[in-house]
Amino acid sequence: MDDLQGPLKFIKIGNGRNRAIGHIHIRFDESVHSEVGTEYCQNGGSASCDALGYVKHWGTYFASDLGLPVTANPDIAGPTGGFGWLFTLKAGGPKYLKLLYPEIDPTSPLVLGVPYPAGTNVNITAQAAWCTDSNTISCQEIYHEVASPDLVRSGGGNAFHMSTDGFLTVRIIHTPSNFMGTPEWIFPQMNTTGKNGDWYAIDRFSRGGVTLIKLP
Amino acid sequence: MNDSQNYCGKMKKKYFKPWVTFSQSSERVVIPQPEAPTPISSQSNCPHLEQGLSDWHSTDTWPGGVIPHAGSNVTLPANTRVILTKNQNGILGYVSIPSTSELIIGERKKGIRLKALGISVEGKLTAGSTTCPIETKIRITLLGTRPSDAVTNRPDEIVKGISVTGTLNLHGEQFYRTWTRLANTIHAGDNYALLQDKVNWKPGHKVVVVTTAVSDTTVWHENEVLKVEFVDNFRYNKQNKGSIVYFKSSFQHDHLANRGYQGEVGLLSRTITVSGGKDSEPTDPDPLTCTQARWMWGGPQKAPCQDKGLTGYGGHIIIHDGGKGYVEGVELFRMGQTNVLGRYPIHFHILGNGCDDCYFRHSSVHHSFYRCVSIHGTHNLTVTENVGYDVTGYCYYLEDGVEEDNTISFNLGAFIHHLGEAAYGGGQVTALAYQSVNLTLPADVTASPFYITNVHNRIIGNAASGGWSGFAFPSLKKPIGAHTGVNMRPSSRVSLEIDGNTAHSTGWWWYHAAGFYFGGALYTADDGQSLIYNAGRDSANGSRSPCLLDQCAKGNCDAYCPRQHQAWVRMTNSKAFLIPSGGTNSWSGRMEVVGYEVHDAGLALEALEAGFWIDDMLVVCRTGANFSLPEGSRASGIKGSGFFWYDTGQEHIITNSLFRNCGYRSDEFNQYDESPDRGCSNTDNLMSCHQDSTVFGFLTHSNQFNPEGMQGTKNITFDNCGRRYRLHDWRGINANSTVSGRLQNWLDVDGSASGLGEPVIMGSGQSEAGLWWHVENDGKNDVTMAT
Repeated sequence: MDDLQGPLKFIKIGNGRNRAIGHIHIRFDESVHSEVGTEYCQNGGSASCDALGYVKHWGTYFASDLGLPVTANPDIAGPTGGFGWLFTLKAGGPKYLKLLYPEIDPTSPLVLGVPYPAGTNVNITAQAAWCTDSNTISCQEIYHEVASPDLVRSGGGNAFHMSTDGFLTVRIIHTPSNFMGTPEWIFPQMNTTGKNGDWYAIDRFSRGGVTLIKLP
Repeated sequence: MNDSQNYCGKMKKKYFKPWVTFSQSSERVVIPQPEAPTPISSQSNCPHLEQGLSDWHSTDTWPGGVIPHAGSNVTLPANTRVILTKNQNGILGYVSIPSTSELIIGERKKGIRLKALGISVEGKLTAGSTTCPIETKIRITLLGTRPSDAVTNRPDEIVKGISVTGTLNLHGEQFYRTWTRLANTIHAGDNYALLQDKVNWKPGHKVVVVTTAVSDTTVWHENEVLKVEFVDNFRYNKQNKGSIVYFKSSFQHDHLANRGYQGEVGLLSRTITVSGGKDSEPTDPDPLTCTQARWMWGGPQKAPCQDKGLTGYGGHIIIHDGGKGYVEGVELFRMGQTNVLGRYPIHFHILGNGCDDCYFRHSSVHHSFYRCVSIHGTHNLTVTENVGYDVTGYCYYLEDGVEEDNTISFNLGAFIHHLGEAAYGGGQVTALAYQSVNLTLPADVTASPFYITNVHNRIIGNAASGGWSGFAFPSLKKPIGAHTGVNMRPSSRVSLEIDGNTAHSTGWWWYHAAGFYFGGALYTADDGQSLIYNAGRDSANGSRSPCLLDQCAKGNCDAYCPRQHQAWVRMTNSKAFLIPSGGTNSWSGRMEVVGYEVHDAGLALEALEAGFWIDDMLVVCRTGANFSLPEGSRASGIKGSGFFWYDTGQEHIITNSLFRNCGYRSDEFNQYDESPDRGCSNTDNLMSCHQDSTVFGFLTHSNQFNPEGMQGTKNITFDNCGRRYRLHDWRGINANSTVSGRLQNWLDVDGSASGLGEPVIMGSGQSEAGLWWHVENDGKNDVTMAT
């Protein structure tokens, strides 16, 4: 069912997979991102904010869709729980890719897929923004490679897969901003406590039977 | 046959129905009521009847045997209790009451009058007691002309004032209620008002019937002051709950009472009056002939003339340096001195916790040239059941931001006048206001009935009309004024109680002003002394982070409040109505708004914060009441929308809320409701709404600031609404889609908003988003990659 007034699309969460709303900020070219608000992508202005790439859901249903434009201001919010989000750039697979500000329900997987030239090697590291290493806290995680996209999707969020034809898959999870592990890597769930047992690893605002995951 | 019998026959037919009783006066919220007083059957413990008093008018009382006379300064003899039993003729100079002495003003059928240039109370100034309220007239008049340098060279406290370092005991007769609300609409030409509560007001009393127009400003208002002819407490209705008040003249305007809201009626007269003389009136009155280049509410608007009305010089009362003040049943008239710091109708000045049994209650302040009551550096004070009307500058006033644990309850504030140019601007920004001789407190550009610089107080059951906003909650990162340098952060304090307050006929001067305005930032300039006020959204100085930890005490006020210690400013049982801008606006910090009604407003609530909960809200965008508006404005210039989701960095949750008669009505917007009177239209004349009216709106103009997963709802009800949803881009419908527009989303936890009855994700329907906000229903085929 669609709303004609907004216009809006309505997605029943109970249909098929466990859907949720997720968000990432996906940086691939600092030379353009740094110009957001001035040269590109203004707050109501007329500066260019053209598509530099697209993101769309995996699957045959979406095969003919161009996807959601990804601009110099590379925020992406959308439904999670499908197999994943396919991210392509007009300029080809990015040598540099930095994901910030995840808001992701741990029960609704988000797998990011990025096509690269065959034979591409990748190194993936997660870094907590506000963190100091200690005996009990780790601040960084180096991702390991697994044998299939399915293993990525069902994994703990610190794995990736690179296919022989150059298709990268990596699961994006909601990591806390002040630690990555205790000291071993953790995949925070909604009830996982935060650093030093304070609050929750996944920040949220929850009232009246509604819970919204907050940016770390 | 007396007058009451004259009216009786008419009443039965005309007046008894329909009426709005208290229980019918709100649909969702419960507005608290003041406690009924214990009846005083007869006076007891009257100070003026005590033995051993010295007669003011006796030569035996005064050294040298000279009774005070006009023009003379008077010092009461030490260790003496002097009683004034009749008028003191002429104008005395300065009257001093030494610390061992007391001046008692008694009762006299014809009243007692005392005129002086000022009174210093080191001992006691007494009229009545709590068990002996004064039932006859006492008039204390303070005289003096305004020095040209009154702002920069402020006269001493005693000058045209009552300066109290001892004890001030003024106890006038208690009238209950001091104010109430209408039980039925008054029509122009009527000479009576049905009230929701019984009142014991008397013939000849002055009463203000507060406007229910959308505007309440000096340049255009419909407040009316009338004199009581008599009060009928017996013929109202079967429950006999209210009064009918007959007036000596007829009303010029309608005053509304319906099941959504009702105008207030307040008593101005009291038995004890402290006033400034006729010399208090400003010598530079506003001619009210000015206009400004503001096109608002459908047309150009008049405005007060700049830098006029700045010379009001009324009397004042200041309780300071360990003084005590117990003031009730007192009328303060022509008090306050415009822009003179500290010279207010009544001022509890830096008393700390030393005046925790003090009060100002059951009183009135009207035609004030600078505020009503100032609570300054004072805690645990009670200000309750007062009426403030026709006031320049903020009325009920927490001065420096340090004031805490005070109770401000059941007060009425109406017809409040800003100083300088009313704050206004494009977007979320207003011009900064700077302290000057014409604007001692720059925040007075948004003068409002209530000025709450620290939420750690009890703000209960108050009513506001007029002003830039109804209740102003500015953010202060640091205390100001005499408390500059105090190590605390007012804007980080947690709220004690903000409950049962109402605001109306305000928010006229700016689209982002509101009945309850949690915005604006007041701070000290780099010179360390002068003040700057930013009335709009101020990210640097205007954020509010209520915290259960005292980070200042730990040495760093700027320290982040850990998540588990964060608190929310909580506002409960509130109502806003007849407001062209917003019922509530908060862009200063975390809030919980629980129990909230909005009727006939431009927008129910505007919120910008990562952590904002609205629960049990009723929004009636148009009640069907005709708007009373100044010439040049139109009802269709007032939006009539429910709620706008913001575009980035938020967490907003709305639960258990109902929207009625919201959203523009047209054939284009009949997907959910086709009833012919759904929502509102821009052709309904005095009850129109703007063609952009929508129940829910989304800000979609930005490519720079974009939404995450920010908003969720549960148990939302639409009642007779037109347009429900609108992706709004102020650049126009032909503008290119934006990043924020394509990413808009909403978690509809129970499907009540979408109408699907099960959990739903709403996403942008803009065509440029492609299939992004689609899923396969069964999800079976999206496990394979399609590159």
